[in-house]
Amino acid sequence: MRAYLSYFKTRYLCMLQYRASAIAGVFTQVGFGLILILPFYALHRVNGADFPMEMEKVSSYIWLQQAFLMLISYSWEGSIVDSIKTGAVAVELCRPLDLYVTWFVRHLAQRAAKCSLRAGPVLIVAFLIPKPLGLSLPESPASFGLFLISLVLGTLVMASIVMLVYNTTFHTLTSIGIPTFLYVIMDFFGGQIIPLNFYPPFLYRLCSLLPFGSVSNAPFRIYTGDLAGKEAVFSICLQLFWAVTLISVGYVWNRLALRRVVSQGG
Amino acid sequence: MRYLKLCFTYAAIQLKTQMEYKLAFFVALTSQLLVAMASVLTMSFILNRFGSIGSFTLEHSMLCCSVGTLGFSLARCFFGGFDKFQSLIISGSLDSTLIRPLNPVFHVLISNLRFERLGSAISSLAVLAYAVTRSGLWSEPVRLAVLAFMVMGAAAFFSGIYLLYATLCFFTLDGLEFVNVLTHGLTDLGKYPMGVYGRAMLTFFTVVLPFAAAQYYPLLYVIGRDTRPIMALSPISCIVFLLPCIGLWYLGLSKYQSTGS
Repeated sequence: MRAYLSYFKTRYLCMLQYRASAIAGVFTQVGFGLILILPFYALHRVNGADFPMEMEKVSSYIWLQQAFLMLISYSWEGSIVDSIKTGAVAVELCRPLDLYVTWFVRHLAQRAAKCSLRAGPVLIVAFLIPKPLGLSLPESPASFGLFLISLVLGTLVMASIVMLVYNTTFHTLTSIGIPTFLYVIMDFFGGQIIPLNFYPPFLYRLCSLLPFGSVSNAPFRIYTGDLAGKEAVFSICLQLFWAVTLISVGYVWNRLALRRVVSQGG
Repeated sequence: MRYLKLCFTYAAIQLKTQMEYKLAFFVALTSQLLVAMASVLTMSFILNRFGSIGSFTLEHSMLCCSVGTLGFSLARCFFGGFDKFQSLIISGSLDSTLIRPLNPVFHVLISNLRFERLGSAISSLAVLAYAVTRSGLWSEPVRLAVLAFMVMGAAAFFSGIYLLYATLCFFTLDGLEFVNVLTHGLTDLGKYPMGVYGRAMLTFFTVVLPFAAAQYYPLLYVIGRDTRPIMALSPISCIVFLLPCIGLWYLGLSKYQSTGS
């Protein structure tokens, strides 16, 4: 356990080095936030009454999405995929650590570090933007608490999906294909392009049940109070279910893949 | 004439190189195609739910969106060299461009064609054809010509943005993530006619960055809201916008000190 914790710490501190790129990232994220909100604002002026969630909530959703982008958006590390391709993964296997857990911890540290550099400034700017375009306070202290739990679970689900992607590389030995397609799949089914409740009812229900809807859809809508009470508890349980399921599947798959691994390269 | 011949030679060589990695090429092409599709789909979800945005219907937005993404994907394919310009500077491959007896802009263009990026052009063309059919525009050659002109305008506009970005790279020697807001972000905003965002935005995107000239004004002509010829001809200003961008790039080039080895 201690080994994994120190692994997390080293990786986290290592990723914190990239400060300049984080500053540039803050500007980009604020720019994208505004660009994503504007169409909704234009719609709101005419069709505000028919909105499935109020304008302030849409804005909050989009700002949270931008602030926590590094935590909840799909991304994978080329170096891990390369390590499978080049055979460097054999070195990892010599260590008295479990490969799956090491990867998982490393991935979480990377997400946490990148996010902690960007989230603060984006959230501050978003709070300063006047209503209804800015970020509002959480609906209630309770929904804020649930939001934090849900955000952690969402990050775990995301990381466990990425672990599955790494596992596929044992079989395909290339980063081309599944990893590339998953960007658009995650964005579309996860509600990264527009909030899922703007989708047609059937697709909305389907997406919220799929693991993709358990990543960022749940925490952000809990924050805004769009999911509250029973619904919020249900989506957190669903997140827990997907996190446990995907992590177990990934872990077992990783074990099986390692049993028949053939080291490439010298 | 010599340049035209070179164009074909270079395009053929690069297509051949990319075809050596067929799987990678088609996966990239398909994923570009899907990204554009996902973007149109979400737009249609919104317009099906609300019926219209501002005074524009789903067909109008589809025309707008497909023209914008088509122009953008052309710019991304042909101006791909300027998209990652910092890497040309850092690796020193820009130097090899400068010692050739060719126009440097032309050489950077033709030696960095990114055909896989035409994936989104394929889906945009399909959406455009669908929107034209639904609006019953096939029998109106003038309006179809204006649509084609809009695509050229959008392509010129985004090429100009890439050139401006590349100019900045001469000074920063590094990439600037913010350019994505002006390229990918603006394409996103341009899914809807620029007029729906209010007067201030429209003025900004007419006077400062003439993106609205490639979509909003000519669209009014195409859908018959404003039939003054000036509306149909407004994409010209995007092509005019390209000229100072090229000028600035040359200015940057004149200050360029090699960094590569």
